[in-house]
Amino acid sequence: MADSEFTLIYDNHKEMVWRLISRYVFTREDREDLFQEVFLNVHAALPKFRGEAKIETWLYRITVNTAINYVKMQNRSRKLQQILANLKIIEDCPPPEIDDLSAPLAKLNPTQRMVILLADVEDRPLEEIASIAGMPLGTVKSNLHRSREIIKKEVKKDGSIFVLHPEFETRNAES
Amino acid sequence: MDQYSYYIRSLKQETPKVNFDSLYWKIKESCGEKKNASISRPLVGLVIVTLLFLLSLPLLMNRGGSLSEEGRTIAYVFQNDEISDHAAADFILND
Repeated sequence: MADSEFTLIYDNHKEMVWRLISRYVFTREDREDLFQEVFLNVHAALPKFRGEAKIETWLYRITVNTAINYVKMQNRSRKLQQILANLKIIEDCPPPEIDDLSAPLAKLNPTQRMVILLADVEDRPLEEIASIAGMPLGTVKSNLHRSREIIKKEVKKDGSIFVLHPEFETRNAES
Repeated sequence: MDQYSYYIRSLKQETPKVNFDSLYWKIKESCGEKKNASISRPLVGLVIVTLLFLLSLPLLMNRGGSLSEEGRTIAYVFQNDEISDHAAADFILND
């Protein structure tokens, strides 16, 4: 695999990958860790990429799968930490703080989060999301409907979500 | 614009303050380490197998060395097919 190919993918999609993974993990350290893991997976999978799917679809798939696995692993380790803390073997470790913008998304399960991010934030067509997620179109639609309902409820509940995390800055708002 | 649309727009508009260059070099470094590991792992395996073979060579060469004189004779007879299997079995059973 030519290194230039990897570099090109990195240059063209780094922001998209960061945007997606930032909604799955919330500390800077975790985000950098997950971001690197995504691109390491991309590097490893690139020689096997046959070009049957669009590169973006393939990349979204790797990104969300890596993110979901990372979150699952983190949850397992957090549960273990809690058990050890209850047994007074280690000190209790508080869960990471979630920035205001991510807070409503944190109410969704990983699949719902993926569907809403791809459909409404990344503007991907539902058929492509079905292919990325490896699920039927009907399941994508029902997940999207459910996710929107949850987010709408959360947004109504807390008007402060638009105060951005210091790690981010907003581009000039469109009129 | 409703609150939901405003929220989605906020998500779309954020730009990360991250040093992508430094992350790129970290990734490249890790890729290099992985590549080296994938090359060196089979090499290490090969070296271990070779060492084990070399260490067991004296044992293989002296096979039968620890047998008694009688045992060695039986082994020789079997190996050289000087007698039939039945005869060899009788020889062992009668011994």
